[in-house]
Amino acid sequence: MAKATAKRAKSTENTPFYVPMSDEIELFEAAFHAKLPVLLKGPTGCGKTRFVEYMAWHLSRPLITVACNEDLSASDLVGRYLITNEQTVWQDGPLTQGVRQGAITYLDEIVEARNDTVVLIHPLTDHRRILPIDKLGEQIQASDGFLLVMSYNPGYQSVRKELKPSTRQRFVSLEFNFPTQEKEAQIVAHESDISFDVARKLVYLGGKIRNLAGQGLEDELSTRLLIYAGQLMKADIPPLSACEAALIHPLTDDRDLQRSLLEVAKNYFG
Amino acid sequence: MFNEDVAYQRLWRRIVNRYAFTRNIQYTNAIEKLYKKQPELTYQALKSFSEERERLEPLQVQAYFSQLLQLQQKRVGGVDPEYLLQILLGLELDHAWRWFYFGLHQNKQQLQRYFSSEDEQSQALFEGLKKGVSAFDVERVLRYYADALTGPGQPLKFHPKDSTAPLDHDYLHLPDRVMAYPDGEALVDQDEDLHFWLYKWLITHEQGHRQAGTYFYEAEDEETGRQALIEYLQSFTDPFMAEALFHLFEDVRVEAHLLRQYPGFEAGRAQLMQLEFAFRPEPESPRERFLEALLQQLHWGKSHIRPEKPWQAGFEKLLKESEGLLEKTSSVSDTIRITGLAYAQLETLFSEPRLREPLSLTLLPYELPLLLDPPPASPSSSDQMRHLWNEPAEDDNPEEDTHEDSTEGDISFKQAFKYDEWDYREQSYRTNWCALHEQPPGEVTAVSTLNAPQVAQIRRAFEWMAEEDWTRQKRQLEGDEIDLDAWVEGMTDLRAGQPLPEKLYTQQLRKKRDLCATILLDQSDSTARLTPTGEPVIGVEREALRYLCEALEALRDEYAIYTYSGDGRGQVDCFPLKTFEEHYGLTVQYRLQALQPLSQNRDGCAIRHITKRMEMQPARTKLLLHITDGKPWDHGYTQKYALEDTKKAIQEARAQGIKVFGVICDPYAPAYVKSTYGPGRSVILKDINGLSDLLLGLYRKITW
Repeated sequence: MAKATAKRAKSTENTPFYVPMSDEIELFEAAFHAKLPVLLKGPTGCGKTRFVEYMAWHLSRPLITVACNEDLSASDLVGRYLITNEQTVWQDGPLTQGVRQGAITYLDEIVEARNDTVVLIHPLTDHRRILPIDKLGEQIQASDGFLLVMSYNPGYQSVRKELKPSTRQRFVSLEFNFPTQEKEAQIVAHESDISFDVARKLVYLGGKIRNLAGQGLEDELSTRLLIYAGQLMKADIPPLSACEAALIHPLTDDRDLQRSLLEVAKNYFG
Repeated sequence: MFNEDVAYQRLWRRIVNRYAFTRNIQYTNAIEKLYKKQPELTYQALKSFSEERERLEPLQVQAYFSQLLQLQQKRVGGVDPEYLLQILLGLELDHAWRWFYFGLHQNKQQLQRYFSSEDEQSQALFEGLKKGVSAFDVERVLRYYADALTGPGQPLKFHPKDSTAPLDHDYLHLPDRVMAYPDGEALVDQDEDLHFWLYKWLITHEQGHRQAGTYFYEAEDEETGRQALIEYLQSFTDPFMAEALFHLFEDVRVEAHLLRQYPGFEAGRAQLMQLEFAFRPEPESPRERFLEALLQQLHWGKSHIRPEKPWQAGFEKLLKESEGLLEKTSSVSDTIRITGLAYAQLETLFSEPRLREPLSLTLLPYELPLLLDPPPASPSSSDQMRHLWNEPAEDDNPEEDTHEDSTEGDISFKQAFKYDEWDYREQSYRTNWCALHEQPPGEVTAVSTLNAPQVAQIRRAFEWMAEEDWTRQKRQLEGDEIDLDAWVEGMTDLRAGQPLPEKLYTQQLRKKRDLCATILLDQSDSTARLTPTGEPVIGVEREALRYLCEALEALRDEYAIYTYSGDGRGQVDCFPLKTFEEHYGLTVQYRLQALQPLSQNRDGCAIRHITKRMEMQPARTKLLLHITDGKPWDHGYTQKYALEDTKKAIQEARAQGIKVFGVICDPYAPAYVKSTYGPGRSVILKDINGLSDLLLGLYRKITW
């Protein structure tokens, strides 16, 4: 069953914290008003999900998030009949809910979903904006506020898992990358509630670690991990232990590489 | 009086013949002087190493005699020349000097024993110095570390000294072993950490020079900047002194820069200074005292040496001036200015003769790539040098390619596979430009055995991966079990008036991998290079391929292995070690075992050939794994031309639906080589001995 979460309403109290990198807010807003589906490309943990949360708040739309996986079936997205009290009741899936409510519907890591599931969204992405539901014999017209958003990590190397060009071509693409060091430090400081100076050291260290992406490290170091490291430090874990636990061991099992990264960490926190 | 003058002369000639350096009068002085004082000893010494000690380096010979001479001048009795030789042979040169100076500074009674091989302290120090950390032990860790600091665009090149690496002035040569520190009477802190820390500091320090712009003196690029520095230093009457002063002040500036950036170095550096300054050779002349005091003050903030009246004022003025070097905004020009000031000070204060050889005023256990004396390239390495990217190519221009003018008429050209080649300058293809021949691969009649437990482990891991593909598929028309989810949903649908769906079963099905792979290996002469363990690269590749075959067999993927080399565009050779149709039997293993370095590599042509071979394969996913040093190189096929053609060939393969991955076996491959394959489509192998693991891991990952 797909995990769906719905959040609503624009309240000033819990404004999602988001630092814009460039003109992504304006682009997203324009796409929303022009009813164009959006694809967010970028490495793991660089803030794609946070951005969608922020935009939903900014545009005052509910947000429905679906984390995609291999077993995600069409029924999981569209809906199914359930039995209650000797009766059968149709239960909308998250996508149908989004289409009806006019929500921003976010399919996270879409490449993980099966191809037949991905094809299901095609009629929603062009000018028709419809969702056919075979079991109900209905075609639902998407409400005005509905916007389909998907995320995709192009760094994913498997030759057997790639987003089909026919799907990609249906979306406006926003490319995400890691923020500049000043901005990233601002984010890390805010999210983990540590001083800006310590956050900046973490970010500098992160920059050095990212130098090794593709040269030993398989994946890029995410901003998320930097925040974890900050949070551990906030909880009085010694800085080097925090770096090992949050930055180094999650990235590699190679002992030499672990040692090299620890040595770089020592340059800042030794 | 020693009466074997003739014998001495004969020996002397032999030495002169063997060591070119002895023609340099300065080096021979020590021997001559010693001979005048102690002919017998000198004779014995010369004899002992002229007969047996071929391993001695010129600098070691020189050190040997100047040590003997110094001992003679200090009237140290009971010296055992054999023992001195042992020390020199057993230690890095600077460690041997360390050991020597430590002895010289013993009290009188100790001094007589120290050099006689009977002294425990002397031997303990020797053993301690021998330990240290070897650069080879930690090379891999350091390499990752250096890459993390510098980023992929501008690798910091370094090698353990004495490795088979090419000589080049922009390689940092790490000493084989870093020193241990004697602390007065006992040896302190022999633990590995300090030694490792020293290597790390060396690398960080060199990186600091680049960041702080040492080599960018009045220039936009390193080459010009270095040249400008050299010219500046050579404009002095005493360039060696100017250089020593420049290093001294520039190190102060660079270290301040590093400590600002990496506060974590503070503690380690303090410890280093403590150890370093606990013992220093005693300066002899007033000028040396001045310089030593300056070195200590600048790096340590205090000094064992009291300023002397005549030079105190000048000394303090210099210290004051050099405070500016600690500023964030300082640049190499500031160092140059202070170098000039200090040089002038020395000239007015002291009337000592100019230096005849480089003087070290740094605290590092190695010298920076010296401005005035870059290590010469030995003739044997010139071939490797040609392959370096920064070397101008001899034949970069294909137009001037006269190598095979007659190829069109050649019979073999006509029978070959012909391929176009991309000329980026014309932005067009040269039609039928290359001729490729499929040659029967060489074979041997025996194979070396692989590590059996490792083979078993690989097979298990990959069989398991193949089995992972057997999954229980839901919602099938038939199967051995009922799909409960589908059934519940179906029954519900039925009640709601919908037809009952048909797909209500689960079945154990093999997800078809439907994948074929070709491994394409560059077999050019660059694979003759030796790895740090002394094995040629091709040997490592041979073995890695065999392990990979074991894995692919376990997976039951369709695969082929081709290698290529060649000599000019009319003679590109491609060797099918295993075609898709062949089984991985003994014949294939014999062919793998027979792999030897051949000649050039014209990558684009080989990739085009494989693209053609793979076109006929029915599999849905096609993978080409290209193992190369990232330097396509052939007659009229170099540098940008070659890279652009390779890139084009890869694009053509992609257009045919083939996924191309590059495994680049050169830790210093420049970043743009990666761009040949596209983002996330290549790996740079840092350590050739890790090739096998990397191939297995990569294959598993990209075909998952």
